[in-house]
Amino acid sequence: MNQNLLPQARTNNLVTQEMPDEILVYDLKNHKAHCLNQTAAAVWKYCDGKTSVTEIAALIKQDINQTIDETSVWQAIERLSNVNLLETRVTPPAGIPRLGRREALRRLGLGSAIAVPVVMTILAPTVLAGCTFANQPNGDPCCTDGQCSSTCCAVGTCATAGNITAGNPCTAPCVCQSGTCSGSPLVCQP
Amino acid sequence: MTKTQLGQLIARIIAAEWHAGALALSAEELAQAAPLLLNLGGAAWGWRQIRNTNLKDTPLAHELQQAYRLHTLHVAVKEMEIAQVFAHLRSQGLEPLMGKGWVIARQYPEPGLRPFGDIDLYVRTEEFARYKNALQQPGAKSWVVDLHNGAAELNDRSFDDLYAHSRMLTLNGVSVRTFGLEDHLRLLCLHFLREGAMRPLWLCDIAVAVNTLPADFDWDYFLSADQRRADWTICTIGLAHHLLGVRIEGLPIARRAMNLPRWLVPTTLKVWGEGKVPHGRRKLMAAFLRNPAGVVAALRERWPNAIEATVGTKGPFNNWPRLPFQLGECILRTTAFARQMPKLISKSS
Repeated sequence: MNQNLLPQARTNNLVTQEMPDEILVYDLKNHKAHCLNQTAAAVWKYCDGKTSVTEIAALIKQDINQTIDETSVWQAIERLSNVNLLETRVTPPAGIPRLGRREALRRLGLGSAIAVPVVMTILAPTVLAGCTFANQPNGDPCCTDGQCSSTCCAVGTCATAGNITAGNPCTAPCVCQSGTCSGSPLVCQP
Repeated sequence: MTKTQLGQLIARIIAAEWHAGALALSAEELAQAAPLLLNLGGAAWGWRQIRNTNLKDTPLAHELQQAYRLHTLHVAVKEMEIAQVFAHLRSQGLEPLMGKGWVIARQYPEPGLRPFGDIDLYVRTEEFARYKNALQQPGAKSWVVDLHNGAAELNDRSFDDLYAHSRMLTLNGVSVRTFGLEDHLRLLCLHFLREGAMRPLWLCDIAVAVNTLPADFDWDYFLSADQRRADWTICTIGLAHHLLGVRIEGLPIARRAMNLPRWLVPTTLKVWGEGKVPHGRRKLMAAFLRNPAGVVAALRERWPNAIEATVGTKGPFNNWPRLPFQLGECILRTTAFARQMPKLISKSS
């Protein structure tokens, strides 16, 4: 059997934290943090270098009582491999559809179907690093309106002031033409 | 929204922990508060308060959740580091006292709610050089240790006293020496004040500490030594009660704690709403000697608020106007800076 078909999880230089619905992993080698939902965590757990993808799918079905097909297991393995959580690089066979980051984020954010494996790299929120900014161009981090050359700080990022018309999604009052961003979800008001 | 209203909003979110019922927060309010929470270290705590509300699936809530996840991992990594630091120092016969950071973070309901960047170690002045050497050895340099020469906030007590009241905690199988509960609560209060109440999470620390006090907490020892500092600490606990809703009824300090000087609450709320950078993260004034651009803004940023000015000038927490204390603090700082000028000029030339 091809060695690539028996994926093995990395154990060295990793710090893991089990949360109620997910596992958080910190890679001490590259200082990157990842979040594995329950399904991806289960796939990772069974990546012991001895278990095939077909067997992993069957084990997970027993484990979390959810149907998971081999394609989903392969998607999980590919993502785990991409973020260096496997000992060796694993490439899924041709024909396995890719799960994009945007789609993964959406699924994780929505807490949707548990059998969908999601591996997400945790990025530091934009304004976490500090708040000593001044005259920041659009797209750069900020904490207050006064720190942006546009005088508009929208959720930690400088944005063009007043260019969003009524009825469109917004993140801060200053991005709306009317100067009012309200409602749930947030939209610019007339 | 004014700075004070923004500060009130931050206080309301933090205080939700100690209030019955779900936090009632609109999407607009979350949009106003999220950047400040993220910047002031309160994002994970903010996530804890909103994760059971209908805002939990919004992009802003997702940012707070990301911070919570990241802090959870950072705390786990830091715990490994702390154990290594103590094992390393102990192998050289050194036994520091740890404070703030992990010591208070472990009292929070979940790891990761209270992020901390460095490891604060307090050591005797006569041993400071030994510690410094030990922490500069190969393998130790990567540790982010804030080594304190003595314990400035608690220097009205001898280091022997601090040691005598210290306690041991176990972390990853390693014993970690930290301040006694009384000294640590005092340290948290005085540090919060000295830093001008900049971070809401520092008051949250005090709330968490007060909320978990054991029945045998020694109030007499807590209130001993410098009586002015004792009064400041009582007022800080009172502030945690007033802004965050921590219960202090029945505590021996309750009467004074409920009778706060009238400037204390508004100053704190305004500071929180401003989201100012704590002292240690500001550009050094000395950097303006060569390039004075921005010096006016830097001076304005350094205008001491009523809290740091009163504590800096060792003033009383009464209802008298604070301007004299603020002017006094400015004079003290300017004098200290002027004293260093010759050294700074010779360094920059």
